Amino acid sequence: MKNIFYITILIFIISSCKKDGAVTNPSSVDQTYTPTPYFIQYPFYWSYYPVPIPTNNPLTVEGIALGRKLFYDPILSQNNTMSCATCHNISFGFTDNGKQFSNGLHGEIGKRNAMPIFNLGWYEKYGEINHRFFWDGGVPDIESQVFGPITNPIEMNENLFNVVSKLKSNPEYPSLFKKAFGKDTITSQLLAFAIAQFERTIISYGSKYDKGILSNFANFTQEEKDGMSIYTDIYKGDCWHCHTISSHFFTDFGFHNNGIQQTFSDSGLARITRDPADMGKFKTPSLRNLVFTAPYMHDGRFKTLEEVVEFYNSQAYLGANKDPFITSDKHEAGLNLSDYEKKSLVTFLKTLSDSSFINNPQFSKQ
Amino acid sequence: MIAIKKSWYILMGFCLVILLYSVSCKKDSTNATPAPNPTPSSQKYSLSINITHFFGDSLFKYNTKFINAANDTIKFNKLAYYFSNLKLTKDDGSVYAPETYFLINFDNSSTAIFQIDNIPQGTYNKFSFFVGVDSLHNHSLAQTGALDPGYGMFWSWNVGYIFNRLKGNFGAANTALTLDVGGDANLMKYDLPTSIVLTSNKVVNLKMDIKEYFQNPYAYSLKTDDSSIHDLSAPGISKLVQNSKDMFSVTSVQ
Repeated sequence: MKNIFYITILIFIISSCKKDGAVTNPSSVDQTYTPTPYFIQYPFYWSYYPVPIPTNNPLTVEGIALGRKLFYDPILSQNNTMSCATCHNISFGFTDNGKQFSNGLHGEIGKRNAMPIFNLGWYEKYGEINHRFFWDGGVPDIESQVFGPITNPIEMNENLFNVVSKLKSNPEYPSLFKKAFGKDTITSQLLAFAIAQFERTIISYGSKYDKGILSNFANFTQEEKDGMSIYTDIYKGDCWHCHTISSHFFTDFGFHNNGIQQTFSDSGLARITRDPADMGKFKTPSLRNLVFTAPYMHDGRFKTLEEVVEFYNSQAYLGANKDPFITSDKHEAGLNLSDYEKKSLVTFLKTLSDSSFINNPQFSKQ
Repeated sequence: MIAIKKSWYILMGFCLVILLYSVSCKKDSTNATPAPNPTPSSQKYSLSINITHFFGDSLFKYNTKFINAANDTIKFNKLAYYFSNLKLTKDDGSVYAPETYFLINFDNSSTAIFQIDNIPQGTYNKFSFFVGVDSLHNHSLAQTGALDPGYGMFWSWNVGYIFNRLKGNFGAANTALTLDVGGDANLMKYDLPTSIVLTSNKVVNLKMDIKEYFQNPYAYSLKTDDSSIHDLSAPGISKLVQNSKDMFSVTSVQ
């Protein structure tokens, strides 16, 4: 009798909570699908500079894989002949095959040199708010950058709704978008999210220089060491004020007028900010992977690193808006580097090349 | 004695059951609390917004000759703009401000009708909104709904939305006209006095007068001011934005 009574109590308590139980019991919950989170790996010296990931577009294995497929797929262009990779070739550090300017779908020619793609995520933290991508800083985030080349009439010349409808009727993409974002839909937003996820994973830190950080540059030749001294000497190359070496990013993520234009045929950052003080300023490119990304400058005017060094040595125009580190007294007569100093500087710059990056199977076409 | 003891056990048992029930099912019992009876002030209604487009006293139409204050003859073939961030203000200063973005495209319909639901009951004396996209949403294009870049109302090279787009031709030579206005500083703000007694679903009829874009205070001349605006560099933008303040009015609430 007593036992029955206790059992009754127990059953009553359990049954009274059935609703609660149903909510917390995982087996009976309609589990929503979650893609697999992905965490970017980068070396210890960048742990001081954690790369920001937007909360509305977290990295996932499936999202990155989708972005990578889209990056290499000409379906994004109007006549299905051109992909992102057409002008951003991994073998050239994701630049355009050594070309000064890129050609659009019908052969049109752009006005600026295609930029490399690596370590982009850090621009979103350290770059100027709303001015982080493109030579003139016209784009604030990687996601928004995706739309420019696709829709530009002299690039891929496609309408975004057309792209979305092509992706929707493709045999593969609907399920890949579902895996990446858990939704039965494809939108221009998700297209940008996927490509941005892939681009955030494109990181380069495997150069001879990176190995040197770990060994106090014991792996450097004397000439490479001499070149690094020229790079950091404010009375010699003084390269590091803009191409920051202490962070190992080799860019300050900022905009400067390096004296390349005597007259501002390309207004640079001022085109975006409308501020006359920004005339002729362009984004500081990272000097990593220079060996692969020729030609150089926003207009690709220099074919070789020797030409670039000679420009800073003796050819910079001094005038309006010139960066103080270009126009300071010690530079007005040029850097006056000796032939050996110039040569060793170039030799040092070549240590920033990361061949494991341009051959990374995670970044290449599948 | 035994009988008393037994009934004592039973009594204690029931107390235990009640105690355990109340503890173990706290969440349930909270959920089970009946919702308070809806009071009149928590009633919600919808508001339809119906915009009719004019050029002065005439209905706005594509490919029809209109004459502005500076005596330009214009034939339009495109009108599109963002209507955003509606805000309804009561006399006591309390506001109802849902996040709203609507893209009005005259290609699709000569009148724009859209509906906003779940607005608390009350009398609203100010009807505010923007033409454009606020700065919080104006610096990323990876957005959905009306802000989907697929609609093409954006600049990709200088990221931001085109707030108001007018295209057409003007003058004897049929010169092409493009007035694409955007940029955070050029958000067009409207605070229209009105009286919306929201005790049932209502319709607010708005008039958009495109002629006002070209006058008050500046008689905007397509011959001398900018007729081809594709970025923020055109000085004409500031004149158009200042003119735009009189572009909308509430014609009736029904």
